[in-house]
Amino acid sequence: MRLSMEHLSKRFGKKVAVQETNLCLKEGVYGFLGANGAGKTTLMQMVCGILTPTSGEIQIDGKRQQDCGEWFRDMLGYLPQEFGYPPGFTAREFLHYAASIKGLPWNAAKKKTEELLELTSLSGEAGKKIRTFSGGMKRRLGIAQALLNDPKILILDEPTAGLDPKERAFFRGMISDLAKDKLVLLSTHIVSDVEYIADEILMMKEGKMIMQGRPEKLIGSLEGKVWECTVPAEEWRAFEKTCRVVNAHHRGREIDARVLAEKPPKASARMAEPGLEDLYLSCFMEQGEASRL
Amino acid sequence: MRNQKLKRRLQEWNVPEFDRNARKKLEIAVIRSGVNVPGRLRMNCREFFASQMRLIRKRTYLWKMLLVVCALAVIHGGTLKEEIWSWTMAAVAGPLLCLTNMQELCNVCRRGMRELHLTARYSLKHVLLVRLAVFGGVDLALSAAVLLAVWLQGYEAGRLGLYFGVPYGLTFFGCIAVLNRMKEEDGMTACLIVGGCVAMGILFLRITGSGLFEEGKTFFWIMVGLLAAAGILKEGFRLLHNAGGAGYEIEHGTFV
Repeated sequence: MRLSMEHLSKRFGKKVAVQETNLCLKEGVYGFLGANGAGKTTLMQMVCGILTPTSGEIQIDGKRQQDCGEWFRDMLGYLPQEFGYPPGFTAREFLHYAASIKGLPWNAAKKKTEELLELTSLSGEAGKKIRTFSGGMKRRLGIAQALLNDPKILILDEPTAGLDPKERAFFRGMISDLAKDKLVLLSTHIVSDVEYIADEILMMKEGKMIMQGRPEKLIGSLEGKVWECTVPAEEWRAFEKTCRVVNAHHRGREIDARVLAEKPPKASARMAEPGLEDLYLSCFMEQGEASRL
Repeated sequence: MRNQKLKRRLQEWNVPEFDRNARKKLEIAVIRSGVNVPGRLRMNCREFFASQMRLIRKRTYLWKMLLVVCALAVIHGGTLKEEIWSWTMAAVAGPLLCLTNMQELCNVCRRGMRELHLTARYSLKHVLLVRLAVFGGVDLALSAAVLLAVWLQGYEAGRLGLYFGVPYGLTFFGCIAVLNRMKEEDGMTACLIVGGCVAMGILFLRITGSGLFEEGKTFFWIMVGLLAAAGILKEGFRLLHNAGGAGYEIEHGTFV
């Protein structure tokens, strides 16, 4: 399975949402990182065929996506960022409906529904109305509907947005387990969600793909550029303006800072192990803008 | 003895070299035979129709049956003798029967489900076509049964059909216009308002003595019916056009 995008662009009037994107993806988990409005959802919607590219094309195993039709949709699983559901439907009824529009025969749909309810730990709630579900349960149901047709390409748009850490851990485990023979494209702006499960990181900024590679390789580019130091409170304002502070912890009259810099920001600064969050912030944070994370 | 024969035959056997072309031929044969092809694990149109019918809730049919039972009870009880009220009841029953369908249509037309429909094998257009065909067929059959009962009792079935059909069409036109324009997730409330307005409007005109059911107003009823039919066609095509699915989007542009 090879999914490639060539010179893919999308405009909404004067606004360029995605610009000249070239990508070639194979089986594995791709963590798609970017700030809100970076163009992640637009790109994913183009891959799914929901949006038409303004220019460029998407190919699946060398075939144009536009020419693939049902064949492509048969192997696609998509979890939108937000999806509506008939509130009067139970989880089981919703999955039966989703299976029907995905073209699964009735008996296979019933069997698959029960398997996926089990997989997403919703078996006990299968007969309950969706309107009574928590945010996490609705996202699990969303994942279950995306998996009904045993997709080869699984596209998950912010699957963990608004979930508590326990639910996010559940999702990470499940996605990692599912990704053995699939191409999983997982968009998020929560760095820790992709840090452990992504085989490759794609980073997008203002509609452009700015970085792509294996996490350890990308993080390696920050080796020797992440520092930790303690700054007296009275020097903090000046320090903050001159350095790219990715994290700050106020402790009385002193502040523990984590800083991105080519050279030690202070004589007493200690070199720190870089992480994906440092990389993300190095791409998205301007100098003098202290991290609010 | 047997082992010796087997041994000799095995010694005579030359293991052929791996033939890549033969493997390709085999793959093609497997694909042609339809085994292990995703499409074979999917429903055809007839199965899709049947599965969609299963997904229509029983409650919808129960409401329809309740209306028919009420109508038959009225006919059997002889209440139709007072013709002017029988016309009014038929005219009010039209919107009610139409509204029994709307919850099912509103459920699938929710804006939040569009992305799911666009990425699935069968688009919202297919789902709507099945539901419209099923509801249209069931409503037509039930109405025909009631009108037959009316005709057998010796009443004017034709006029009753007109007074029933026109408000039904008017409500249906209003409801699909709502579905086409609704910005909210659920359009059922708006549909109830449309149906309620049609039914209440008829009752109001009946009570105020406007002579709505006089024989001279038949032409007016036919004209309203034709307008409703034209509206249904226009709004119906628009609804199906908007629900066309990903294939339509790629060819004709985006609406999301």
